[in-house]
Amino acid sequence: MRVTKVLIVIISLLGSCCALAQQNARKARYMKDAAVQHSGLTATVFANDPRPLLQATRAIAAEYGWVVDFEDPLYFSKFDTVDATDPAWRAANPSSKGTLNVAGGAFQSTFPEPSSSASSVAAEVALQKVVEDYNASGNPGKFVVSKEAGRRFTITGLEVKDESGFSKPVPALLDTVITIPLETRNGEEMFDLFLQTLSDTAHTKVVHGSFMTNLLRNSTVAAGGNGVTARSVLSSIVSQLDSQYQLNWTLFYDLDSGMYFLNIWPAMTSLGKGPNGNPNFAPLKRDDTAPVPH
Amino acid sequence: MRRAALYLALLLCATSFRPGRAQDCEMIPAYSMYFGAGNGSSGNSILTFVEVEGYANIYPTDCALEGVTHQGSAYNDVDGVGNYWESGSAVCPSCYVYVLDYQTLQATPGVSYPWNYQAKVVCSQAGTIFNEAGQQKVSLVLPTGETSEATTNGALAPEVPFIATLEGGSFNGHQVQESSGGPGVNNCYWSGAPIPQYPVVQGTSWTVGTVNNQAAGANQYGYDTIGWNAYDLNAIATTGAAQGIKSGCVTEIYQFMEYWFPGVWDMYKYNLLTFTATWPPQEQESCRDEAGQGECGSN
Repeated sequence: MRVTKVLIVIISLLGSCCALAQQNARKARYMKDAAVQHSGLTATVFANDPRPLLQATRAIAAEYGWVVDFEDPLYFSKFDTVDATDPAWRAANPSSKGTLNVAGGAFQSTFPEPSSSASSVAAEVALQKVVEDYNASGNPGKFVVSKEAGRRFTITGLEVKDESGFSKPVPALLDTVITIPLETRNGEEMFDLFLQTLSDTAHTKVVHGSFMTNLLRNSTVAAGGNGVTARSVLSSIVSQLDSQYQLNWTLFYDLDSGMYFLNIWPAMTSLGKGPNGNPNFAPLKRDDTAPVPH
Repeated sequence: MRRAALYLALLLCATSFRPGRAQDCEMIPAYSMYFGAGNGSSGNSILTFVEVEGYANIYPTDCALEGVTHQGSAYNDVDGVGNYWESGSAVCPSCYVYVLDYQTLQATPGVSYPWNYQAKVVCSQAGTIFNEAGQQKVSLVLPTGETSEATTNGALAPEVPFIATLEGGSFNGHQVQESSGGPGVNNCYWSGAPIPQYPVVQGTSWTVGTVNNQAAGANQYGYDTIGWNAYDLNAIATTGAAQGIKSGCVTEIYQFMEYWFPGVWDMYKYNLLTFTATWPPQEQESCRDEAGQGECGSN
């Protein structure tokens, strides 16, 4: 009996070590940035991240000067998540539940090289191909691309894995139908009202991220509507914020807090490599209409 | 810019104005001069312009004025640059006259330059029917810098609101904006984090003379709010920490400040924005141009 217990403990310890090793290996495998390689009539994007589709489409958007909004689905099962707790932190906090991350990893997709980065049709074809490849890759979630306007697109998560590992359709948070009286308001007041209304209606807390305060407080926004999608209201707000840059939104689902983080950041365009070898980016100006060279 | 409108009634009775007609023709000129000066789009340059535009009302409207023309001209001399008349085409009296004269002077900051400007419209029959002129000194009026003061505002905590004060002139009512100085560095970032990996400024603009959307002191603008909000600071201190992010992680954002003249944004200042997240307890210190004319603070 005692021998059996010792064996169980040893096996458990071995299992923990292996699990930790896997986690470390997973973390070590992540790419700092996705890479886009051009090869004649096609291009290939390489990504490795907890959200590889987000990393890939960010790189593609920056490469061609497109604006891509991104919306996480609500992940919940062990098939879409991974324990990402740092071993040193775990050792110092043995009673803590640790932290989860989305269980994405390596992903690559080869798509038709856009004949012109100014072509919204070429952009849509390329992004459709990337998302199709992603949905077949086994990485968490299944997504769709929708065109908003011109070279602006939204990638929305619509399927996750359930607790049995089967695909389960989930509603997109920004498809939630809301009502906000159409009025002209200060940007901060408007955005807070939007988040509160969306949170109340969807029964999911949605908060906003950092670096938006100046922009919101210095903008005046006329938005709202009766029985409209949250996405249409958000799109209206974003288009009226008083920035010299094109802005996109990213909706992150935080597995630990169970909240969505809604960020509005400048869309970026790639400037190649900087002097230190790191990727160099610049915000995409609102009046930038010229194709971005690559 | 100043608008100078002249409404001058002239009764013209020259026989050449009424060939074959029984009544006289009445002409009421409606011409204006516009002028302005500001910083040029490149380097230390002053841009000046003088514009004349308008037309003449003719009564009765069917009055025939064969052969009569009006011609506008503008003079825009800034320290000897542009000391000539820029003339437009001679057009019919009721046709629109428009002449624009731009000049650019390479200037030294702090030096004043003489500027003489004039606009006129000459009628081929009645002579000069519009004439305005002026002179003044112009100089580069770009802000020479700005100071930054960290303040507090409970509604914004833990983000830190800064008030900036422009130096080198009187700038109330003008616009300033921030531009990106390159992708920032975020040492609080982990793969999958809901915070930006390469943070940049958002491209916000402010009206000088206002802080927090209220009237403020001379040359002040703000807030320029810097740092993580409460949700992100908590995410860094909990999720981030559990994924290996250390207390004291620093984030850097590179901010170019630009001043607006009609038609052009001129950069006048570079600010390094830094903020440091620490825990426990969850706190933050933000800095705006700490090494220069700024300071650090917490809120």
